[in-house]
Amino acid sequence: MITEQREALDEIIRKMRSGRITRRHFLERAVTIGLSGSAAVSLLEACGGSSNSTGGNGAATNLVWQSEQEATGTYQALTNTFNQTIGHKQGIHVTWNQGPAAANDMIIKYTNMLRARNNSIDILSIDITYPVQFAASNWINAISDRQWPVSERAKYLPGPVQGCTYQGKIWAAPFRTDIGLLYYRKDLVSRPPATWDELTSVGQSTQARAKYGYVWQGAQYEGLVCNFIEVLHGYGGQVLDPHDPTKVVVNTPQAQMALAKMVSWVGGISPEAVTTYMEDSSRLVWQNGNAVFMRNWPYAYTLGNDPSQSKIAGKFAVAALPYGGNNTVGHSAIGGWNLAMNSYSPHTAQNWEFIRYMLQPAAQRQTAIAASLAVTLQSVYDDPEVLSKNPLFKQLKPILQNALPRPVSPRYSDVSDSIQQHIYQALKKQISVNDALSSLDTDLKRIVAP
Amino acid sequence: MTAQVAESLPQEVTKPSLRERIRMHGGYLPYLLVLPTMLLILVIAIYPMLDSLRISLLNNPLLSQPSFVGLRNYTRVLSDPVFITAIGTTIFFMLISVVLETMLGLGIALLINKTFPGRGLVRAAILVPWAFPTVVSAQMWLLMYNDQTGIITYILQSMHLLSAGDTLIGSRIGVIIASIITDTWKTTPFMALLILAGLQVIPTELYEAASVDGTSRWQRFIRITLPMLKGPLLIALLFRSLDAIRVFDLFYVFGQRSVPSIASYANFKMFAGTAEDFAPGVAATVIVFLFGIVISLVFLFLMRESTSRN
Repeated sequence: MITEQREALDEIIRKMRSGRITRRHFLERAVTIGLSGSAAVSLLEACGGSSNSTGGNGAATNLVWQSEQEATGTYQALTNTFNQTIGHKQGIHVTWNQGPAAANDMIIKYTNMLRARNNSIDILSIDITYPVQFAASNWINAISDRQWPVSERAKYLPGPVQGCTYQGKIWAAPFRTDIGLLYYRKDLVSRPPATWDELTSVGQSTQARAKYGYVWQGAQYEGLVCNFIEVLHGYGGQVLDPHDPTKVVVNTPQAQMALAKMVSWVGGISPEAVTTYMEDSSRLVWQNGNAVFMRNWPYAYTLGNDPSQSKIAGKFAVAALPYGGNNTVGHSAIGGWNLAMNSYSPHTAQNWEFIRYMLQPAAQRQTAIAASLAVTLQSVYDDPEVLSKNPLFKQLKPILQNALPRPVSPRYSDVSDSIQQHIYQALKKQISVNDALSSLDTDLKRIVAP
Repeated sequence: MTAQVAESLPQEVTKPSLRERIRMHGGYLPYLLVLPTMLLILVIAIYPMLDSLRISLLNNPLLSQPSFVGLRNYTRVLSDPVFITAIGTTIFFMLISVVLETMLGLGIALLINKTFPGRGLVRAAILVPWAFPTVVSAQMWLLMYNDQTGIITYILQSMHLLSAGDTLIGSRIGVIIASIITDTWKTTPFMALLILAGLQVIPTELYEAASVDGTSRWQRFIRITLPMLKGPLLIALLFRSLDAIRVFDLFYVFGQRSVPSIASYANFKMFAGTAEDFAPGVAATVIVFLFGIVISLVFLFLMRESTSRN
């Protein structure tokens, strides 16, 4: 929602409350501004007939929530429920704003808006890598321990909570999450590989029956960071010390094993072109039946089982990512969306009221059932109704519990950029594994230096 | 005084001095009449340019009290090996693509300058690639460069120019070649159109007189067509070079983060980095702008040369 829209919206709400425009006129204008029909009706109800009327909730505050793209209408339903219940009691009305298809467009919109100290959006859905960066610019308010007690936080998945935490404060509430999964072909291999070594050797021996052994995301972009840290965490390595984000610990024997493994895949069990692959390019190879293993996010599960576009519908399963070295458990990278409060918004308490509602079991369950999204409340994964709707969730729970966030740093964009560059150069065999890690180490030390 | 002396000297007659040129023969009216235009140019062109320059000298323009850091942002981007490579990539791309487009454009212009049935249709059809937004044609070509389903990958692999499972856009030189191919496909029609316009103003009498004198086709091309085309050709080259130095879409789609051009590097810095990266990104765009100025000056010099010789 841009500033002009927000101003126009506030204006018609004011006029409606003071009884200066008709209901019909209000709806027409709201739709012209770009609200969906149902959002306009719900806003009208919130306004009540006029300022003197006791109808509606006479909502004192109108909030705007900008979400990521959500196609099933669940977010609209959740917002409506809030407006009719808690919002009705407390005089809050939330307008939901659909997000763009490309997540990158949204970050540009946010940064432009927040650089201008604008408050046309009160509640922002932001990607897991941004809460800490936004916090460093003072763009979002921290959630206090009083608002969200530590005991309450423990009910949610630890990885996403950790990804939103910086310097002991939590900057956004993890609403839903996303994790890297290993997809494998049930018809070609009997069980998923436990270790990266096993994946490599099984990929080698079976790739003649597909075309490639393993496809993943090796292009120089954010996805490469996820792929790299998954292998790295699998070997027990780290990029930054999780307890001290200004300490770089990337140049270790574990990292050398991890990166050497990845380099050996390019042109081995993976096609040379894997260094140009993103999520969809690898998924297309996979859906055409040309790979034994694939690393991807959960979204590929539904698409891969759709016989109209996939040649391997029903022939695959997912598993946790493998591990290596002395480690005994694999770690997926975490994606996902978090709710943050614009620090330029004057409605601090009301913003939290809405976020708290979104974290409650009811909203989390509804999101898991209606939108099939992996939410952050742990108890949802044991809920029989959720499991009967999404059998995949049963498998996801242990993977989610072991998942680890990408390095948490207020300079994450630069950290990510540097990881992408050096890892990519190593994958292209332009530099050796040791050189890549030592120059990455030097670069990161400069970037994260306090 | 000096103006009078200058006027008395015959060799100075063709070049009036600056002072002479702004003499107020017509009072203030002419200046008043161009004032709105000048103001408009000031507001929409000069001011943003100067403001970009100012931003490029600040530490972080997004802070409420940004501090002046001199040329630090420039030294920062110029000491970034990725940026230096991007400059090389962009200049290489510019040289090759402009030369290819000019040669092909000249050939096509000469062909469609002849009368043949369906000429109007051909002239219109040839402009189709140019009508696509670059980012759209880049996405179309990306499908053709795709490692699994791309036709170009298939052809190159069957010619053993690429190893199996590889793709053209997997390496830096490959991305540059892919961009040159797509750019040539897209902007050759533009070159052809500009050159065609130049060809059409060459008087046919020249060719008639020359053929009476018994010249060969080649001689007519070298002695009449090329010299007469020099002006339009220089303008067309200027347009294309300026366009090519600030190439963005092709490298944004094919090269992404791994093979940026100067402009896409600036974009990644400004909009995909941290707040600290914004000002260095602006510095990178100013550098693109400086390249543009240098190219314009070179062509301005060449054009002056050609007009003064005529």
